[in-house]
Amino acid sequence: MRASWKGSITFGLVTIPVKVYTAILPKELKFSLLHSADGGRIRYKKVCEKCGKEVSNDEIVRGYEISKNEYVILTDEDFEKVPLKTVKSIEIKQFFDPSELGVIYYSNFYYVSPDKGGEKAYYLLKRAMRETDSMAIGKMGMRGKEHLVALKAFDGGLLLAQLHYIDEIRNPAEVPGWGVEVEVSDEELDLAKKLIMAMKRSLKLEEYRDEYKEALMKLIEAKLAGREITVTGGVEEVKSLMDALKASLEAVKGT
Amino acid sequence: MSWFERKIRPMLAVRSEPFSSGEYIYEIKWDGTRCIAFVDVENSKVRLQNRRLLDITYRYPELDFFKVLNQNTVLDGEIVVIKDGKPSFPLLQKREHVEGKFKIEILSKTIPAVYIAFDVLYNQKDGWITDFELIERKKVLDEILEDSERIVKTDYIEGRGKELYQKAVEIGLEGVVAKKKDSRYLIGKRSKFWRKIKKRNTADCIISGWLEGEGEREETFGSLILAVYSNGELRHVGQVGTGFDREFMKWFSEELRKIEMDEPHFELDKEGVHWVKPIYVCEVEFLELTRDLKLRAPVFLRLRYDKSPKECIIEDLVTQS
Repeated sequence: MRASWKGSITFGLVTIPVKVYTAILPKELKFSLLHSADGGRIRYKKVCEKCGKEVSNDEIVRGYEISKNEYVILTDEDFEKVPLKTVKSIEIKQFFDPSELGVIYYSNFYYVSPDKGGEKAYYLLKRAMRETDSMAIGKMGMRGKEHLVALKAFDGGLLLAQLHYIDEIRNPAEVPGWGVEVEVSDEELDLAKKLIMAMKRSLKLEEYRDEYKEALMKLIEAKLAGREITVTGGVEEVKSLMDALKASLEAVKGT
Repeated sequence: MSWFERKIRPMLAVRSEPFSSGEYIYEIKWDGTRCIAFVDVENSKVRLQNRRLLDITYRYPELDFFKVLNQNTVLDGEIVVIKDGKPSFPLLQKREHVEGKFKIEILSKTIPAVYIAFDVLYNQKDGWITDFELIERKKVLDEILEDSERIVKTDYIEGRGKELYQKAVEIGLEGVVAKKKDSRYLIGKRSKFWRKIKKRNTADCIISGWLEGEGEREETFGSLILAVYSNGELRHVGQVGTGFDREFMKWFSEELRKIEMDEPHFELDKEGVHWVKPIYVCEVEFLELTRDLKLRAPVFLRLRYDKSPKECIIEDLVTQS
């Protein structure tokens, strides 16, 4: 497991060296694209639409499309003019009550672990946040972006949640039919509530699995099973190796 | 901390010339991944820990420890992949750099590993037995461990080390390990009680960069720049450009590009140098050390996930090889 980010958390005068690991496992089922005729990998090439030539990375700049086919071009030098201030540290701006942060703002999760020398301050921060039931918010630079992040005591450590900025969330009022109220009778509402209460039980997330993925995996396994696949030996081979050695030793003894 | 959670750095061996002594037992040197196995039969839990103390249990679901033990036990041994009757590094490597449960599950069936137990550190009756003499621990191992399809205890012979070494090398094995009969298990120590006797000079080096390749290797790399730590700083010990298979080169060149860095680790008067973060360790075979402590004619053997870069120090290079 490799850290995705290395830096520090600062709050007040304390600086805590930390490492950040992604909490989400990579996708288990990833398919490669192959040429059906000969099984070769399909690769992407970066080709210029205008001249038809393949271009290398140092020939590529970024453009922001302001209207159809009209771009504002930003070079590496331009990007350097706007430095990411928070690359190496997460500065905690404030603490807050977890209930204030709506579920819609969460985007991505990471685990934070203390780096060398940060163990004590890390533990203190974690424990104090837990005992005051508080979360922290700050900013963090990662992969060329300035992310809004929240920290929370979680299980045995600290969880870091990447958050959406408020202007990234679509206003639900734009959605047709949103917020419309309809006339219902008390009986209807009662019935619906009863139905809900009848189906309500404690949540066991392990009961819900990606059945489509599992079916695909079974399919892959079945296709594998058709082949002669075991290529390696087992204990018998280890034993026969040892026996052969002993036997040859005995032979030496005999002479 | 319970016995099951204890972190144990395995006992290590020094290098030695072949010798025969009645005070020692001799066993085959199995080359794979060193692994301490914690088996809790009461709660049906297994924990496999490598020499870096990392948990590798999830990588080897095929190792059926419950079948071979009927009491709580801690074993020391080696995980190997056997191909054509001998341990295979390239196949073991395939098991070591795969992530994702499903792929691990498939590989556990297509290239299953074997656990070769050679020591026992804990059992239910006696608790920790690292203070038992080796020969007593071997007796315990004999009593409690049944061989299964994927787990086996290694055989040993007494006294005749030179002959065993010769025969082992003839068969194509790496060598043998000599262990003093009355020695205790010294956790985390490299001691003369255990001596490895092997034919080839091998060294574990840190991959600190690569040189660009030409022709067929233009897309991957020409050679890997090797280093070891000397007084806390990386010291160049040579380049290795042979011993890779194509599949590995393709995969590894992508991995290298992910960890590329600008700052050079040391001065290197070569063209097309790329530096990487010093996180990968590889084992190479070589002819000899030159006077200025460079590897002569190194050949790549494998990546070592079970050894941390910090463990690769110049002192070991000199004394181990």
